[in-house]
Amino acid sequence: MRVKVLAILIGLIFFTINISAQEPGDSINITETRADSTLVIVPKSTATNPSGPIINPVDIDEGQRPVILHYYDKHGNPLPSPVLFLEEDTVKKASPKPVFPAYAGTEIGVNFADLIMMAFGQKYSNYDLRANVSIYNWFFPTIECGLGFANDTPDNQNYTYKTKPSFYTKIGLDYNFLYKSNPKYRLFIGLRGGWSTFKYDIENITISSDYWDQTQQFNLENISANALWGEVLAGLRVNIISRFSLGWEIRWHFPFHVTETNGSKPWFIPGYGTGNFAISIAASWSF
Amino acid sequence: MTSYRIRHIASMILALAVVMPLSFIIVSCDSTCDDNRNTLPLAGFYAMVEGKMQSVSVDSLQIVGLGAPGDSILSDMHSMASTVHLPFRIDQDETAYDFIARKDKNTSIHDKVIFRYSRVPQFVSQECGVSYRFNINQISWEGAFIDSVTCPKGYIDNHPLENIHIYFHVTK
Repeated sequence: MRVKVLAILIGLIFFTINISAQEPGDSINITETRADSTLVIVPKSTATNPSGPIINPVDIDEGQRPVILHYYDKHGNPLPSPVLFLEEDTVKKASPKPVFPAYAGTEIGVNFADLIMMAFGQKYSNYDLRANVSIYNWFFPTIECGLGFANDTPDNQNYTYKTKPSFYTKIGLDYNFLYKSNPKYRLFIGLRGGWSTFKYDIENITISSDYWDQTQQFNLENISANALWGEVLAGLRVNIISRFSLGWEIRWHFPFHVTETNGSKPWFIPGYGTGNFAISIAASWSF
Repeated sequence: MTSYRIRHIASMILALAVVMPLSFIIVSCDSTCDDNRNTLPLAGFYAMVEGKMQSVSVDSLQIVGLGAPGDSILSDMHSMASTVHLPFRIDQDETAYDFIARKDKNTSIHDKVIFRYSRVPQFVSQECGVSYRFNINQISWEGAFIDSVTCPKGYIDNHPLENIHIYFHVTK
């Protein structure tokens, strides 16, 4: 209220000054008075005063923004002199809202990383089919189902370890950092929960005692086990051509439960592998 | 194919070229077995000294496995020792040892210790392989200088720890 009164007073003063300064016949149109204390003033010359300024309408730019004078700063304090803003900041803050629709597509893929790793001498493999749904291109609920198996006779060891092809499942969610960008490219992190039930054999076991001069050979077969674990992953996915994409992920595993039978814990867990880290490489097709 | 797409595919291939060797290194890291490859029971010697049970060193003590090929001597201590390995038989669930203490040149005292157990093969790890776990069912002893024999944990596995305690009589 005070600001309004002050604005009106200043306007009146300015008006008075202008009236006293201008030659007779001049008039000033006050086209708008705003609550934020800015006045838009458009001078108008009259035909009865040929010595006054004459605006030639030839170069009228209808798209031109009106000139704005600011008489107060952002704290409401009067400025020593009006400030003319030639540019207005037209940059708008990015909206955090999603850009894409709630259902933005489905993707089906296959993980074939261990096919490559076996060429480098790895003795176990996990292959899975995976499917996810794009929600706003932001969140990707995912399910992975596959088979894992192992067959290894380590050097200088007294056994052969075999895991029959066994089924595993993982369920989780990915978060896409590039959710406002082109959905053909994703940079994401994710979580998974995995489960597997499997059997393994340990064959050609040789145990000896030098002092007693004894050697025994035997097999341990059909040892049942199950495992429950969690995963944290980070990855990249890039569209190659049409609806075909390639992607890779680095995964860190942590077991929640692994069955122990007579003191024996499995070396290889289908879907999990043998260690805490694993790599996935997936080819996928979008729908 | 646009140059933009070519750049993306190239960056993907480059990322794979970095990731694949890294994963190979992670997967193929060699590790060794920190424990024994075979289960090897380790016995420590103890005696009551000044009212306290203490670890002691013994000399002039000979240990022979009963039924060992050629009656081979397991330990022929001419020097002081406070521990000794006592390998168990793997073809049966019983192992007996003869402890021979030499009093003098012509005289020796024999004590006998019998371990009865059940053998359970277990897969320890990829590095350590398969070894027996001996679940001790009974320990019996007879003689003059061995006071008692115990297995505190009740079982013996491939960890290189002292898992048998042999207590000797101490005469003042």
